[in-house]
Amino acid sequence: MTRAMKRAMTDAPGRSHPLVVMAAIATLVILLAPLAVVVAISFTSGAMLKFPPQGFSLRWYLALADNLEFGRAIVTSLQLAVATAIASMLLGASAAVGLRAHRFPGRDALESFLLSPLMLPQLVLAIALLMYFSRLGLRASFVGMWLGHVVVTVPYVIRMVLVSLERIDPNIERAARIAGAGPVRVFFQITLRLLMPGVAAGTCFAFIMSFDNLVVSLFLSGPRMKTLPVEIYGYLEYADDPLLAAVSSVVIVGIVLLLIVMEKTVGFTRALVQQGA
Amino acid sequence: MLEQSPEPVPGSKARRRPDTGHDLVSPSADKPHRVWPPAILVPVVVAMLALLAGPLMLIALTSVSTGPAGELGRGWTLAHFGRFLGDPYYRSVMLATLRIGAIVTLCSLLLAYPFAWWTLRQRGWLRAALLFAALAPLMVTVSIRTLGWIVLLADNGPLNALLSLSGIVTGPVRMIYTEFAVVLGLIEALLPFMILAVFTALQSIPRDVLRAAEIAGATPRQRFFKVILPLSLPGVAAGSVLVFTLAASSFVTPRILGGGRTTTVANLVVDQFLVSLNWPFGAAIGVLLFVVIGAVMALERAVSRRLPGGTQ
Amino acid sequence: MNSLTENGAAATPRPAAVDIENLVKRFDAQLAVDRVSLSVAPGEIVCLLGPSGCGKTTTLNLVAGFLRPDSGHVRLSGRLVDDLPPHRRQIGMVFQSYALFPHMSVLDNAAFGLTVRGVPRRQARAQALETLALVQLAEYAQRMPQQLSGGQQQRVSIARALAYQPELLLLDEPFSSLDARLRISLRDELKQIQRRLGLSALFVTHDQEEALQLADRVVVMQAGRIAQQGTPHDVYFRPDTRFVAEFLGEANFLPVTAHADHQVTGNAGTWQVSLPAGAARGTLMLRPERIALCLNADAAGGRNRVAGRVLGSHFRGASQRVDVQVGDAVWRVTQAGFNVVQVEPGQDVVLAWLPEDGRWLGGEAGRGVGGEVVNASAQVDTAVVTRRPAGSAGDTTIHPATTDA
Repeated sequence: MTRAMKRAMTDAPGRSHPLVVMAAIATLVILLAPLAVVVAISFTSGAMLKFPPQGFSLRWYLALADNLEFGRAIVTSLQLAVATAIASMLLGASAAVGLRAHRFPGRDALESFLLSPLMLPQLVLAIALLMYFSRLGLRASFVGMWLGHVVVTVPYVIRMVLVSLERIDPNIERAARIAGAGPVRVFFQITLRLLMPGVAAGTCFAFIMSFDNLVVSLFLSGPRMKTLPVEIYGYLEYADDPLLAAVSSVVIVGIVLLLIVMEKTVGFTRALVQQGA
Repeated sequence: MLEQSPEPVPGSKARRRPDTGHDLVSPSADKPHRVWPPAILVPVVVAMLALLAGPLMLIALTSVSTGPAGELGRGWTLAHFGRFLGDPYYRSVMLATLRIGAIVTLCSLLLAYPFAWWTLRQRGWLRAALLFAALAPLMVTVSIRTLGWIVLLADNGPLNALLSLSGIVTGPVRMIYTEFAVVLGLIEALLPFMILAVFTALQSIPRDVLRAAEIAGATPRQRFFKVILPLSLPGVAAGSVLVFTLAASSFVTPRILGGGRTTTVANLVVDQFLVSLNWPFGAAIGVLLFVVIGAVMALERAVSRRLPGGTQ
Repeated sequence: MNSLTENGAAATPRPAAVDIENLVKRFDAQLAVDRVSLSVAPGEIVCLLGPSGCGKTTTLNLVAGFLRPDSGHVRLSGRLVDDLPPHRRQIGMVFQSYALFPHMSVLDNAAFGLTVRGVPRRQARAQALETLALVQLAEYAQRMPQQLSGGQQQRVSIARALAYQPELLLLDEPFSSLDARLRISLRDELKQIQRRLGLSALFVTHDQEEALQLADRVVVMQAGRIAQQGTPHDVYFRPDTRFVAEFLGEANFLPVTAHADHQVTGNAGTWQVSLPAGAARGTLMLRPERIALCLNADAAGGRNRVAGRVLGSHFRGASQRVDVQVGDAVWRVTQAGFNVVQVEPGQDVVLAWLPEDGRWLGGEAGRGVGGEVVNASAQVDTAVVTRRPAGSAGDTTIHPATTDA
């Protein structure tokens, strides 16, 4: 059946109930309004966090460029995100492959354990790491933050690679084996190649998760070790000017661009939603 | 920032092929079952044991230790738990937290379901765009989104302006720094998770089953209540648990949008750790939170297993 | 329930169960259904047969109402239903994937059509139980669908479709997911039920054997159009085109030139076959089982004949296939039962067939004519010979002209 036929055959011709559409639109508004407002305010010429913004100006972006703390925080966040992405990719991909290589006693339990941070309130993890790293002298250090981020992001990578693995037709590998390829060659030349989209999606995800992370970062940060979210959070507590909006807009735009790139290359919505064929 | 992320939804597990089909060909022989895990798992297991199991155990131990700064080995006590549970203020905070969690879960479900439904009905680029719009906010750190709400809900903000303009109210309505703001902010933060869960659940219903219902004479409304809703329930349940978990354990949104007037259990924990520096007490509260959430999850698992159409 | 009256005549003529008129359906630029018209009489089983992509499933979905035609009309029992949504069309439908409701018991599945029509639960369940008994699954009423085998699930699906007594049953490759033996037994069961209830049915399949066995009428589709329709016998023995001939079974095709007096010449001989007026160059079609393998020319008698050399034979259980080199072509002969002649590769044989077993196909889409013999050299007069069922020996029955051409 052609794809055109399949599309036409899906359910219920005609329009949805108006209530449904209204609720959907309301949802969309709720989801996007805060972000839109922040971006809009960043261009204000006034000094207040008020919407609609008064006048148009780039002054706050200029102020941002001069702001040392935010600048440092952005750099820290980026460095951290890259380091986390790499580590998570390696650990996560290896975990997924290992969990599917062959069965062994306790495999399911191990899988649940490795994926558990997904269901654990990050707060609990954050305080745990705080206490733990304090004893190890890693509090308020780059390494400490990095390790904390890795714990939080590895499960995502594992999950995305697992999904990718599950999509591989096992007969492909069997065909390669029967044609004479040894298991190592099969793994590197075939399995790994087929996994690339899932690994790539997972790595990008880990990057974004790390960059955005607040809870764990908050507990593990220190006066000279602050990520951007932590810096913004601190600013929120007492300051009240559109500088926040400017830095936030930069983040929003950056992330949206990254997501668009991800969507076009590896289809991150697909990786998350596990859409059917 | 993402505080948490969705676990695979039960509905999606049901579609998995049987186990034998999945396993990669094992390195040395095609044996289906071996005693030792593959060596490739060592790094990640070591890392997670060190970074996850260790700290969690530390928390558990700290919550029952007597040392004021959290040193272990000074003695064991359940006093911290008693202190929390015995104090009516703390109990009320716990109740408030659970209440907020429940409200947020319910509201996000009521919004996410139509959204997911409508998105599923769209084709091609529109559907992709809607999903993107639903998931993208997850990718932006919560601090930023909270800022957006502060502006939106301010007394002199756009929402109040709209209300005044439409004549519904005469003066500005205090929305910011109330529980309402907290709930709204949490709903916004957690909607993507619910949307994801509902979307996956709805998508897993085979089209032929819906067509069979239609040709057998069921009106659209009957189809929804008799077939679609029951079959989407397992996914909805899983999504709800996740949202509840996140709502009950969040502290940034209550702190900023609640303006200090709304305290959740999570806020208490943060205070104990970063302000009062009473780590054992903070750990105890954290453990309690964990236990409550764990109970909810276990409840959902038990109920889900009973639900027909949801296999786990 | 509809039932055909015993004397075959109804008091007033009943409208066709389904009447499709000039249906057209496009998907993007592709024409999936191209001006299809057909009707299903009350109590009749019609099969839509064709390769994948021929439009048969699309046509079925148009009748069901899941798709709206770009042009054309659908009438059910005389009523125009173009604007009627599927759930109001009073149709039963069986899907290839069974499509049972996984969250309901077998009984509730069967009762679904009744419950949604407002029948009180107890009565609905009772009626559903009766329908389940019809498919021999009454004892499974309380089970869940996942606990049943594929064949059982499909039976529940049939029961669900029948429970609310629709006038029309649609089936979309209902048995394709089942193994061969189950397919055959369910086929028989379905036919029995259909006859018993006097249901009209429209079913889709790509399996020609299924179509020939189940259908009262076969509609062969190709690329969105109807290539031919007729009784199973008609489409099998008197295909109009090469496509239909090949789809319905194995066939030999010989390029031939037509001459006067219903004679054609091919590479290897001259034979007799009924020809329409104006026939020139075309193809002679012969079903392998209608060719007799003779050891010498005498055994061929007065039939059409050609000499050949055996290439090999293949055992197929109930029948045997023999490939014979005739000139530069390879002919396929099927023999079975008591008439099997054992041959060796390299052996010289004579192939013989009756003139009325040959079918003239004039070009790609040309109409073919068959079933008549005019053989000036035989002692048969110019009466018309009717088709006789496959399997009988080579005798000729002569009836007054009752041909269809």
